[in-house]
Amino acid sequence: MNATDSGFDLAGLCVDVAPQRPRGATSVNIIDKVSLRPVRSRTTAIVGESGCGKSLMALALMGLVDAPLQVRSGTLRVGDRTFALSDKDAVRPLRGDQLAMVFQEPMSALNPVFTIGEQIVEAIVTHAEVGAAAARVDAVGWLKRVGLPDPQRAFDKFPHELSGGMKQRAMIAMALAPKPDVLIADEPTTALDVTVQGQVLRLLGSLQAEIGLTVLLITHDLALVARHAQHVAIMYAGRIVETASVRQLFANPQHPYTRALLKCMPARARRGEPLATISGAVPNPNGFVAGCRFAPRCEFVTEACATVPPASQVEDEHLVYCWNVGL
Amino acid sequence: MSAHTSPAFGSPAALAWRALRQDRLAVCGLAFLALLTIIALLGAACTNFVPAFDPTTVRLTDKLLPPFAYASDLVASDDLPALGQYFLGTDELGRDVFSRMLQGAVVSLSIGFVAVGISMIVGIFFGAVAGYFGELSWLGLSLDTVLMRFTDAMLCFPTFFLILTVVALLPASIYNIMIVIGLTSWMGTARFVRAEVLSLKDRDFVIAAHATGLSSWRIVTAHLLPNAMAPVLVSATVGVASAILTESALSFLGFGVQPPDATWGNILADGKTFIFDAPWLFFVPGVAILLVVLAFNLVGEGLREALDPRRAER
Repeated sequence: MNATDSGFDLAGLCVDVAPQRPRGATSVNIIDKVSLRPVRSRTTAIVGESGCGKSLMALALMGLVDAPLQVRSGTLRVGDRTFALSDKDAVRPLRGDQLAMVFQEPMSALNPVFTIGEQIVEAIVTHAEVGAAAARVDAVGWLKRVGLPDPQRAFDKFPHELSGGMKQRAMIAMALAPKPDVLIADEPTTALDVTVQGQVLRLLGSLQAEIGLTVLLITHDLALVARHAQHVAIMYAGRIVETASVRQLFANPQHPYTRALLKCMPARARRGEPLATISGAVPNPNGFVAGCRFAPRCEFVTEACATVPPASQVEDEHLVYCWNVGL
Repeated sequence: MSAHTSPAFGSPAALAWRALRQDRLAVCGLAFLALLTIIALLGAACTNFVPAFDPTTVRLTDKLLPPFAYASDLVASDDLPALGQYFLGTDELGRDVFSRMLQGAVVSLSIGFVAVGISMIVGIFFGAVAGYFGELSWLGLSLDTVLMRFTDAMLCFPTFFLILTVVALLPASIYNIMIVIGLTSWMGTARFVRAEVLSLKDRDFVIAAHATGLSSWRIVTAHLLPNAMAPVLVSATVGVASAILTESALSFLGFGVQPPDATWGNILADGKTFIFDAPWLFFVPGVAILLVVLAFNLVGEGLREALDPRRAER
């Protein structure tokens, strides 16, 4: 085990949707052979447009995929144990304990009838043999660490009494209180305004340094990736198309989709010119083409694109799945 | 609401209470029920332990006296009513109607609450299981289908006649009546709870609870049900009123609680024979039932408003 091994990796995740009717209709593949190897104590960003399967991948990792969606294959290795993701109860013992998750909408991810303190205490006592008083002290400590003003009073607040940013901080406290190794943050700042976004992500960064947390940051915002992540996986239509370190990706993007995404960043646009866009949208899973799924929207499409491209290594750690690398 | 209190703060229960207090009719209903409960509890103690309030004392010399009549000189001193006066008159055996009403209040209220308690337990259990675990299936039949079609079947019975049949077969004790009323009135609750659980179970906070590693059982009991309580509470409140009505109707028909135990229903039933000679025997329990049922319905309606999530933040 080397220093960059996070003791956590995902291999060959496939998720299908099984159509309810007509009976016996073939299922449609959504996520295809996604593998990920996040680096310990670093943030790995998973980037893609809406509908490319980022959130679904996160839910599949947690074993939270429900019918009609169905995990066909995929394994999760944690330390020296391997879990089959197709059995959604298999990862259940990991949930909360080693794998935690923060959601996009802090407004709806907290139970409205309990105080945030009660919810953090519940997360703590579910995973550790501690008394109620000790759990309370611990929970107040976490509320303090995530920067809630007056944590003693915040403990007894109901979710609707807090602002969006404070709720997201409380969510982070709830996710981190059982001391997980890996945190999946599913667009944790999309519902927050820009100033609060920065605060929340800086908070995550400092907690990460403090407790050695591996973070999977799901986002569609490349500006955010540049500032807050160290590694990136670009996802399109249920497949990973490029993985690299942040520096490599921004300096030397390889996949046409990655390049197109980068062109769409307002910060990189030239003044006076219209902002670039990628024409079309991520197709519905029924409309996924054989071969490279980006081909219908790609300006460099060739005949080779009708078959699934293999991984090509650009540099150490920099992989791209495209036939036209180096063109 | 004064400008100094901010309605958006406090627990959901506190918010609902604040909204409920705005509803004058509901507050009146609640006050009346609180008063009645206190009277019923005091009455239970008095009718059991104070001879002056004994509802079974027969005074044949003082038959069918109107309300506020004084006891005649012929009554033995041990049998005198409180203050020597019959506040609500006497019945055909010279029993004090006030004492009998006190005893009946405890019986009627406890039948209402216990029957509704039973129906809530059954209804919440069926609703929660059907809503949350409904997708489990055997032989092509989902658990949801089985439970909810059973609920539909129960709803198809003419409940009152079902109760009459059961009560005719079982000894007519107060406990049997509670159980029978409870077991024939849970269907509405089961449907409410199932609908709430279905709408709640894909909400983010439930997924977050799964992600925290809680067990399904804990998620249902600790996260889903407390959020599904609003319609249950409303239907329980109204349910108490209808259970009291059902018990009165049963007693009126002679299938309910048997004499000498008094309930408002059987006082009413005894009174109907003397409706022209002693109308108070009929009106006193009738008005009491009317007021209690009205109060429960007003409180239920107020709760419905107060717990409505679409209620504008006032």
